[in-house]
Amino acid sequence: MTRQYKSVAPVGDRVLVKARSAVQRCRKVASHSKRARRKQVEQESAVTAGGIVLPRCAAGSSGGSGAHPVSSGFLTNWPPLHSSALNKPTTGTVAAVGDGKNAKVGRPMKRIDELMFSCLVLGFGRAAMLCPST
Amino acid sequence: MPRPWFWQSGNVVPIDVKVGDRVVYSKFAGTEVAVGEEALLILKSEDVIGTLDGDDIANLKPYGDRVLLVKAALTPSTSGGVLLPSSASDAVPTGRVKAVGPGKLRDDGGRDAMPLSAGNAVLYQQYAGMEFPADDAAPAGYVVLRSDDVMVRLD
Repeated sequence: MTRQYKSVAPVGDRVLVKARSAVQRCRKVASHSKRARRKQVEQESAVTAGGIVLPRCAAGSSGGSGAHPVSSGFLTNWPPLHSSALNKPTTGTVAAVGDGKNAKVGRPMKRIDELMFSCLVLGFGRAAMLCPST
Repeated sequence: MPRPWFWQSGNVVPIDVKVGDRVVYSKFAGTEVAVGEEALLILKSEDVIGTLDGDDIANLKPYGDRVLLVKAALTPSTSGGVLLPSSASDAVPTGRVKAVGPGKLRDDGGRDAMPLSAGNAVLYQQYAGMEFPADDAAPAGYVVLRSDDVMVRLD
């Protein structure tokens, strides 16, 4: 289930994309006129290498409701096909981008102040071991 | 504000993706969220494959170290002439480079040089990258993969 938010802002190297998933495409098709829907479904149907036209939105159905949407003519109530089953590019429009990728250093504690801080902590630890009364 | 104790140098490298670009992204990437009525997807910039002008995948501009290949047609057949599906073949897939990205973005803001250029014939790892459907210019389809997945350049 998709979480609902009031607003989102990408962080770092994250990108926010207005996705156009296969499910959305199916819903869009369902809102068209019957003729336009038939045409669009015919155009978007997957075709095997042997030329067999597969019903694009009928795959994954659990039985009776999965009739071929083109041949049956009833295009409004077929189960949507998950985008992973489609060999179509997943595209979207970038809505927002983060401020950039945080570059990493080669190894930790590169700066001298970090080294000094570490030495200080180790020194206090050693002193505490030598003088348990303190 | 103190910067993180280690690992991050504090330098911020801007990413390639711009607001308004039409991008192609990996099929299984991202997290879906909804803002109001709008369905959005949060992606890492590395999951963006490239930008697309129009619907023709041949016009894809790959990002980073990705390359767009035109797959070479594989029609394996038995000695009797029976055609086999491409999945039955153990031949290493080949293709020709159609477009290359600008190179992998380094942490210092520079880019690694790409080992390939448009027109190179290559041999790439099976199952690598993301495949796109065929058109008239590429009867076997297209594949976009990282330059690391290309094994050999066929000069």
